[in-house]
Amino acid sequence: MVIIEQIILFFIILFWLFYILMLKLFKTTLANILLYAGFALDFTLILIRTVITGHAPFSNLYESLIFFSFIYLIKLIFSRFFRKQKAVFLMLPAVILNLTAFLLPAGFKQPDKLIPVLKSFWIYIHVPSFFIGYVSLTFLFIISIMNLIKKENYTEVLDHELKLTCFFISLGIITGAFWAEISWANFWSFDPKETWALITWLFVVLSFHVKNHKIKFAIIFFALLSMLFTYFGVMFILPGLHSYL
Amino acid sequence: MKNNIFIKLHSSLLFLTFFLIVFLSAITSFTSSDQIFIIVSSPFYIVPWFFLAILIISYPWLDNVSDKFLLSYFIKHIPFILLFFAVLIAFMTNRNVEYSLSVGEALNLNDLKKSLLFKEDMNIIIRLDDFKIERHSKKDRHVKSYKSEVTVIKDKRTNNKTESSLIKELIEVNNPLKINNLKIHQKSWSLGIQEIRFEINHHELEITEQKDKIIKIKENQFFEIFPLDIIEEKILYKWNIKDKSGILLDSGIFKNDIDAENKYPPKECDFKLVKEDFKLISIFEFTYRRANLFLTFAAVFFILMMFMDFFGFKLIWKLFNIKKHGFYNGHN
Repeated sequence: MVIIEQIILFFIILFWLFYILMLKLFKTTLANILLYAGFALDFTLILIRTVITGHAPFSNLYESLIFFSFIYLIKLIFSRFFRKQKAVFLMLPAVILNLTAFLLPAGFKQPDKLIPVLKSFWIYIHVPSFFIGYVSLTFLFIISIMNLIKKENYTEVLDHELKLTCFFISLGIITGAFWAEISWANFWSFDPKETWALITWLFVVLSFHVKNHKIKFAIIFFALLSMLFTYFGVMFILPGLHSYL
Repeated sequence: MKNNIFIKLHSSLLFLTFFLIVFLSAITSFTSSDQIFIIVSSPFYIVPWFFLAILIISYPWLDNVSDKFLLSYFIKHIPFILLFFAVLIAFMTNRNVEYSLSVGEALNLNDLKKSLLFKEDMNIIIRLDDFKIERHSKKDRHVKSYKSEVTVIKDKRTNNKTESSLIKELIEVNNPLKINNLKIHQKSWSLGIQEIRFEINHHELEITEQKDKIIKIKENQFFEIFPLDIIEEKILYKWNIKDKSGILLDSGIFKNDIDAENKYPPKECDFKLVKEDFKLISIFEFTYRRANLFLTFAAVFFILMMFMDFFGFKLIWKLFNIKKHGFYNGHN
């Protein structure tokens, strides 16, 4: 089954790389077909994983990467940048995420049963909240780059994305605290994942208080770095209660 | 002019405080769990948070702000201040203690009065009747669930008579038992070995005495055995035969049960399990929370006000077609 998943993942990456190429060549109809085909395959991959494992498809790194790219793509499709040349830049994170999932060692991709501590309805609120927050942060970062480099005014979009990022990361942190109280008997244990999620939140909140675009971009960049460390760094470098590889 | 200097100073202090909190928080993630508590309960960590709260509260008095801005400012920041104080109160008043029970053992909750610092009389006895570990399948030894079946014994006084009520309860991960303000969480479990004796090459040895010891069975062959897991209430043992340099020559796992998958040590070792005396220990975490209600309220209020400020008010205005120049427009 993992081999089938790998084949699907390969075609998703291929379709999306061709989507970027077609957009660059202004062949938008073909580009959209490739995007939707990749999206449908991504959804199929998530369904396959859910059926095989019997639980939510974000309990380990491999599943979460695919889920992250899926949520990201939904955001892109519903954004005002969809069907425009700017979607080329915005598409890159989805490709990188799936490529990372594809390149993971085979041991990371084996379907696993859910461990007892993850068997709770909170997993359907806490984890997706963070993913929506992280997706918005990634989107925010790329639009910030576009805002700086292309010198186009995306202030309204940036403001909206910043609010989405802040709200969903806050929701993720608070729901995580209440779940931790039930399962680990502590609202907050200063587990590395919790700490770095808090650091990400602090950077996001700080960026609200900055008016200068360049400083704002720098803080958003630090927020993105914190988010990447929360997601990857903590898993590999700082094991703790959240170590579900 | 004077105001401008104060506002600039305020902004600088705000940024410095944020970065200090970020830096200190990052340090805690690289320290051991024993040191984390020392760092976060020290003034070095708590004072910046307090200072941040003061900076937030003081800002409207530094600048000549309009009523509209003041309302908008407080809607954004008061929920955070409330949450901060709720967290602080919870941190100071909440108590945790770990306690283990083996099957058949009981605990009177009043014995935890000193550790959990509660005053009420909780003459309630918790008795562990059974502890079960469920695996996914015989081949897949991953734990599916582990749960404790307990009996809660409460004494009730009615008409000068004391009656005991016995209630059967189940405690498992994500399903703690709540008794008044006290919660009993299923934290973990362990194997309580009383005595495990085995015979090898006609020598009788006790497993706990052999911990970290390797037994010589032949020239350049060393034998070791240790308990690995609990499967269907039987200990699963792992044995290894290594050479002088530690290179693994042979190994296997078995349990004291008829199982086709058992791989016993080679016949030349003359291995025999003589005695097995063990019990399963259920590890609980008892928590006593005084400020949970306030913390829950503050957290929900924080998220709700954030939603209203970011999206909610705009939605209401659009729905009811209210113009943007209303009393509150969420902007500076």
